[in-house]
Amino acid sequence: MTRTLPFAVGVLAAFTISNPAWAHAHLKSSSPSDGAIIESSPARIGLQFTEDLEPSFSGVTLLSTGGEEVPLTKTVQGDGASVVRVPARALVSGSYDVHWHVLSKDGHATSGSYSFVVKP
Amino acid sequence: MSPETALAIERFLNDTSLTFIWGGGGMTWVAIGASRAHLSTSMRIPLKFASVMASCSAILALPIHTALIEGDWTAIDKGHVLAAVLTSTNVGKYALLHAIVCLTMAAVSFLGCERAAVVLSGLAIVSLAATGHASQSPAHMVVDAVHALSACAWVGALMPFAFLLRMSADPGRARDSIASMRRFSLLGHAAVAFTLISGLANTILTLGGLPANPTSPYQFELIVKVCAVFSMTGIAMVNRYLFVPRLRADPISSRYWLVIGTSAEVVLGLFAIAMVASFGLQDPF
Repeated sequence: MTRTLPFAVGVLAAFTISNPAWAHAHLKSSSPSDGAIIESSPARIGLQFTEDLEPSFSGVTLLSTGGEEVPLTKTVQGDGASVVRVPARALVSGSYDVHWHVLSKDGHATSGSYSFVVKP
Repeated sequence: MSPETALAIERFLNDTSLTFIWGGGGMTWVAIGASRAHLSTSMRIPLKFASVMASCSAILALPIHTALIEGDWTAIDKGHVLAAVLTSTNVGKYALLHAIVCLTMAAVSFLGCERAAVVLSGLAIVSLAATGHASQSPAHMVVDAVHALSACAWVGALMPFAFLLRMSADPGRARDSIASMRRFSLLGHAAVAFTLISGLANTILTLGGLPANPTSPYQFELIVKVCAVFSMTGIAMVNRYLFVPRLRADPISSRYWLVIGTSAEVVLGLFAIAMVASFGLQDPF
């Protein structure tokens, strides 16, 4: 009993101070960031997530103000938790919506969107 | 029906079948003397039915996951999408592995190797921890597997326990069936303790604390499930420490209340499995 009690307390303490599992991939950061107003066309669209992703079922769509899809031709391999795309052409001034959909390694699909503005 | 609802139903059917094989089939091993043979005979057809249900639901998991990932049922008509989910995602690979284990379990069950089927049902339960919320770390997967195995042992053993209760009314079978129930009680204490401790650890590892946000569907359903499990624990304690000691002095009334209590535990256990099948697909926060 004298050994069991400290062990049990230790195990419970270890669990108590442990970090939670996110379990669904959430957008942690992005470049350009949400609501950013940037001076010139971004070299790449990069999104960092809270969990590792399944690349085959994770992607990004970029829409201009008029709802026209901007082709993203090149995929740059990031780490397991990021999606990086390069626009096929320089972005003209205006507002852009980034729509993302990802599948985390644990099998949960999530999606979302955010916007940024390229200054005239 | 949305793919998410279909997946929750598939998970419920698969989990319930595996629970019955793991806990119910395992309980048959624990039984003593003649009660083991009687129990084995009573459980044979239900166990085969459960192995078929586990296999069918496991086979359906891949197309349902594919529809959920693509957000559209038409995805399951596209062979290349199904193949991509199967070969390039963790969830697809583990769905295949899980289906193979379930099909093997059904095959050995029909070949009469019930013990091998019980072992394979345990393996199938463990394989479920490799995807979902627990798959973020090996320690979390171990805790999740221990929780699932102990909870399934508890809930699954309730049906054979009810059979044993009925057998105990027969004077010719009473001695062995009561001795078997004593064994069940001993192992039941361990299963309940493991279920509660690993459940607490699982919750803390997933949420970083106790569920405190009932507006989150995940946390609300987790709280409801915990209430169901605590109710089951209360009923199990009343059964063990109030009615079992009275069996000798007042067998008819005690047996009646034990059957009522065990049936209530079965209903609450199935409800808890349904909650897990549902909130396991949702965002914990």
